[in-house]
Amino acid sequence: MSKKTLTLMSKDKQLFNIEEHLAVQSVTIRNMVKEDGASSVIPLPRVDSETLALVIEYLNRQQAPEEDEDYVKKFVDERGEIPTLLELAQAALDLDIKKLMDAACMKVADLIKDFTLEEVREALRIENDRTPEEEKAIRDEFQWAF
Amino acid sequence: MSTQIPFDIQALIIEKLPIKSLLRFRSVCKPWNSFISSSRFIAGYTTRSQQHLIISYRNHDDNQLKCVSLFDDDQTFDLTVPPLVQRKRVVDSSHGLLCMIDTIDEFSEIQTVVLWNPEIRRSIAVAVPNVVDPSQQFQFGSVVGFGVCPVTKDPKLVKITFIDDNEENIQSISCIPFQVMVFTLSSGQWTTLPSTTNLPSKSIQFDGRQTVIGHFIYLVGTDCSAFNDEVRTLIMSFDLTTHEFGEVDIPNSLHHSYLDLSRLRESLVLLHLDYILHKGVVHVWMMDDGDSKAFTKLFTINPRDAYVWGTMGFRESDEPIIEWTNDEMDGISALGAYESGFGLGDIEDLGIRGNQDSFYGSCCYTESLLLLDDEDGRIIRLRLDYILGKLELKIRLSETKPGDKMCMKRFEPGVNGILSTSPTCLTATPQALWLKTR
Repeated sequence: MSKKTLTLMSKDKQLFNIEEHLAVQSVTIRNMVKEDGASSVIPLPRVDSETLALVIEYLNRQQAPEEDEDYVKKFVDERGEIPTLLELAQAALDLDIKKLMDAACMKVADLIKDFTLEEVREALRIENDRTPEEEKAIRDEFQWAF
Repeated sequence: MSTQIPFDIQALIIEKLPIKSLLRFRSVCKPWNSFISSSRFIAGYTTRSQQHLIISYRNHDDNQLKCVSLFDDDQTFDLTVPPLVQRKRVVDSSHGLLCMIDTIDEFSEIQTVVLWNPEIRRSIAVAVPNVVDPSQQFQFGSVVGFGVCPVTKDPKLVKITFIDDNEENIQSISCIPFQVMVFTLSSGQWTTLPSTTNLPSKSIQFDGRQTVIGHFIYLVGTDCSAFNDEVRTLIMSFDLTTHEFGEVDIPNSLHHSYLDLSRLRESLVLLHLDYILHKGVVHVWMMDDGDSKAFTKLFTINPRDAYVWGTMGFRESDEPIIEWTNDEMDGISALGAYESGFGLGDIEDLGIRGNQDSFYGSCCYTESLLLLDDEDGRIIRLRLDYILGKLELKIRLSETKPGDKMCMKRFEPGVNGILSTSPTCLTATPQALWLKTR
């Protein structure tokens, strides 16, 4: 008996096939399948094709449960670029794949933990809404941590 | 991708940052500051740290208080002792927070306890009430226990007053006034537990040895009501969530010995001080975490050519860290790691010297942001002593008459008053003293 396959469509309209039993590791997809059988194409309007390819690669992994933790860690380690990790975290959040989301965020935290404030803002595209005075106040309070 | 990153993702990243980064990154932007400084984030943030011991002791040369972090690989780090912590010693640690108490004047009128988070270098002091009626002719003693509630992450202190007097006097008193008072940092107040809760029996005395594990503060007590003049050593537990007391079952043979407490891999450890051939040794018993809660003897600390003065805690490998001395050291103690052998064991000298009997330690596994939303150096004062002492407010205790109405009576500084009934509940705020009477 052939396994049931689902089709996922990325933001840029690329189609990806994945076996249903693997796809339902995503809670979002599992709920969609439960609701209407999801026979047709599942659109993922916020995930681009590059990121979706990564997510599919992750969902297709053939790991024994006890090796899974190490695998997820290695998986995100190999994609150590912050922009890629952020896209991955976003996709994992949308698709509700907790392990992947946690691992991606953990990796980002690990990469930025020693960054300067300006580097953090740049990496996470955050606008600086602090006046220099406010910044100094916090810096003075915890001088030893800077 | 050039759009903004949803705050959900940013929040997930922030949660995984180490403490030092969090302190700096409050300057990244306003939303980050509000998120990191929020009481919800502070309560929820706990990271497992590398297991280490924090030890306080007094320098032999100048009698100055020193605090060190001692890691399993023998690395030690001196902690910068905040001004509030002077003349104090380690009581215990819980959720990254260290509790320190006065070493001298321990039973004087005003006692302060310091809560100190060494990771974020922040400390506050809490004045401990002394509300024993001065007109009472009995000797009272008190101890303060400490622990952070694992559910609410609210730091709590429990003050237990006991009768430090002979058996006859213990028999003659019907209840201990303000026997158990609980301080919660969230409220900033001390509240007396009502006598309807299962308070420790009035014949139990405490000496302040404690350890906190999970929901419970464990305290060593001695029950003086036993027959044949023989006191019974027992371990009381205080539940940080329900504020209830209980007694821990310990092996019968230990009810008549001198006990201290510690923890090892988050299990309760009993340290039984014993003598073998006139030399002090320590038998180490550990509580089984399973359903049985039975104690098993692990080993005996019996060092070659040295005496054990105290057990500070354990390494992850079970090795005890001890305060030890020998005949040549003349009033000086040293810190060492004890390596068990058959019979006598060896000590690895950790190179720290201090005054004898001045070493106190606690094992730490976690780091937290507790106190980040507090003001460093804040002293939570208490006007209770002032009211009771200086204004000579006497609380006269008498039997409660059935049918008397409950009322709250408020005393402001400067107002004198006499209570004719026994208070069932007491709350002190910086402005006033509240007594609930029936």
